[in-house]
Amino acid sequence: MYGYNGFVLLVDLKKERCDTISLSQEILRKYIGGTGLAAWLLYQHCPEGIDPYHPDNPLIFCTSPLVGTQLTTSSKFAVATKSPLTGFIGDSMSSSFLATELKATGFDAVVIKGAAEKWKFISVSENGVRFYEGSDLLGLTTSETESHLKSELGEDHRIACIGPAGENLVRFATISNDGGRQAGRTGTGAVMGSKKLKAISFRGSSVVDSAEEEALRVRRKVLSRKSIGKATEKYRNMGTMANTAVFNRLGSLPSLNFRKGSIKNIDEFSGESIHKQTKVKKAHCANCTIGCEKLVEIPNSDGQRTRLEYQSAFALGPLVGLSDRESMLKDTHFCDEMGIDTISAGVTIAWYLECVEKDLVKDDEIGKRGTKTVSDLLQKIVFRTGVGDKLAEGTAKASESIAKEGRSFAMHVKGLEMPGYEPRALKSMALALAVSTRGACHNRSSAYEHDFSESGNRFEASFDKGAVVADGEDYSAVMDSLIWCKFVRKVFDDFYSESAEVINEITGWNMTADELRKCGERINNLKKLFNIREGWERKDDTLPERILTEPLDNGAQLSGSELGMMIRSYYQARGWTEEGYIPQSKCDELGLHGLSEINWSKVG
Amino acid sequence: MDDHINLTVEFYGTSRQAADTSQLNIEIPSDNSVLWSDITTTLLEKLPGLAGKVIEVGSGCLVSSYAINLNGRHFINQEKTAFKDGDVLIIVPSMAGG
Repeated sequence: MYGYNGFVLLVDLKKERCDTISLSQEILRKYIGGTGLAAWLLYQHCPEGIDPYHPDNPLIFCTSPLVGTQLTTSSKFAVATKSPLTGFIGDSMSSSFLATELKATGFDAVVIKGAAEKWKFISVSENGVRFYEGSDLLGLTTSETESHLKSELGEDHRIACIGPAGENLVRFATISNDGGRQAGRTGTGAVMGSKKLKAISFRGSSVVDSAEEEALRVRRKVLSRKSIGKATEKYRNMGTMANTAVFNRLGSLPSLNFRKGSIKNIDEFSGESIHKQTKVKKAHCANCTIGCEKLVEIPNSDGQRTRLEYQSAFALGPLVGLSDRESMLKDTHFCDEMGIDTISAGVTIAWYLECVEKDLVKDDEIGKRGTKTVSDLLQKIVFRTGVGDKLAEGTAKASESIAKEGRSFAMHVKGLEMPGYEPRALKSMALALAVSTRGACHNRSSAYEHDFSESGNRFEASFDKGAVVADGEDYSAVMDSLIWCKFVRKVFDDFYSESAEVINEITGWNMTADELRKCGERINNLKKLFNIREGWERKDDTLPERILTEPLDNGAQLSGSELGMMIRSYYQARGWTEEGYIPQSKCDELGLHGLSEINWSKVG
Repeated sequence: MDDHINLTVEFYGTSRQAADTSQLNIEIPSDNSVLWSDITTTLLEKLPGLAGKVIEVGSGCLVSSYAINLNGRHFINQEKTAFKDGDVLIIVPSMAGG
């Protein structure tokens, strides 16, 4: 077999045993790798209807055929589990050396089930798994955990770990790897914490051969050269922080808990200003020629740096009403060290602050602490003290337990907090956020591209947006399964054709562009099947009440009926029923048979 | 009769780095509206850093990794748009995630 190891490692934390299962060519060709293969493994290994914190909820780490090829941006991996925020599929991706090390252990994926009785860390290699006592790691931050284990096991080990937030089952806890990169969304770190698993080390030396090494050598060279052209200039120079000022100018920067679409003091948070006024160091993931990462020096911190992305700056700056850069940078650093998703943290705090402002909740400390208000709340969330214990449950659950009157402005979809794209000013994105299988997700549809282009009217809710979002989701599913970094996509002249050529050079298959496109559709339908199995209903595809009832300060608005029309257009584009279920004929067309436990009465 | 129109061009992201300014007000001879091709000479004259990085030398086209938003509303095809007095052209890197 080329391009894959062909094996999955199954780890049972309770019994401290492991097993291997083989992966057939048929499954690999259907689901590819990354989030696609991880979704298939999740469907197979997650018992129907279990609580996300049940020991049997699998935590899956999955590589892809591109991992190990040294193609630019190919060192990425996916994590999947049943999300403790949504109760639906939770998948997240991260990058760098861990991906290649995982694949070098001789496995394409690792499925972890069970829960340890006492805190553990495990080491995965070609020999399987070793289980270690992990209690002495408790309380360590993500960077401390990584450096501690590297000093103990060797610098060549790659570590995935949780911080104190994951230990304390903060529902939006992340899994951290390679110096602070995060599998950030949907609470995968909380599931890891529920298994009493503090860290995983990967170390291996297996080499996976590709079918056409010479062709790949040329491909590497060409793609690397193209990847440092104008198509990626934005990411190389300024990173995702380039979004902040533009979004603000276009009234699509969610601010003050989505009450406004722009702020006045944007220079505090814009990439343009930060790059001009602050020391910024550029960084790369393994095998990446782009280098989008920007490590920003935190003022008054003895040279400490934090990895800054647009989503963190938006969520811990304008969204929570913070007006100074220094606090935002410190809070971002704190979240990464503690292992929590900056988006979910910011949205949850923004909601709470509005509740206090509207006297729905009494909290005498808010207001007295000034710029430290947000950092105090982050501290309380991570360690579950005071109101932080409830906020650690995420916006959806917190709004039920703290202030039900605040549910209309609890900014989440299906339990996952909203990212920094204002739906009322970006209608394709509005639809994508409403229907995404993992909740309010900005990374699985690329729908904003349509809003930010001359071909789409970003203020108009129109019936054509269903096909735009469905196509974008399928495209993204292919990217996330091969796995390419999203930031390399503009480098391709014909994405599907060129990607099919690449996968054929790696695997020796004869895949066509159309077959690859079909893989994307299959993967999205599989994710939806999982959600349907776990209780998805039509009402779950929606947006927060605030979005559907309150016009934005710049006049942009979106009504419930407009969203309903776009959702119908999406279901139609997908070939689903009017209620959003998948007909058996569609499953047959996509080859979605042979899945364990499909309950057809629930499907459509 | 005034035979000039006034336009504002705003720069964001890497276009601001190339322009070395956040915005520029320009005055173009016209009694009604102007096309992109009428603006580029003035832009390149006043902000030579745009040449090759944001505006293609020779063709005057916008480099493909940039887009233009008009007045904070819609993104436009610069070749098919007639710009009127008071318009604000917002030049941004093409959006692709983050």
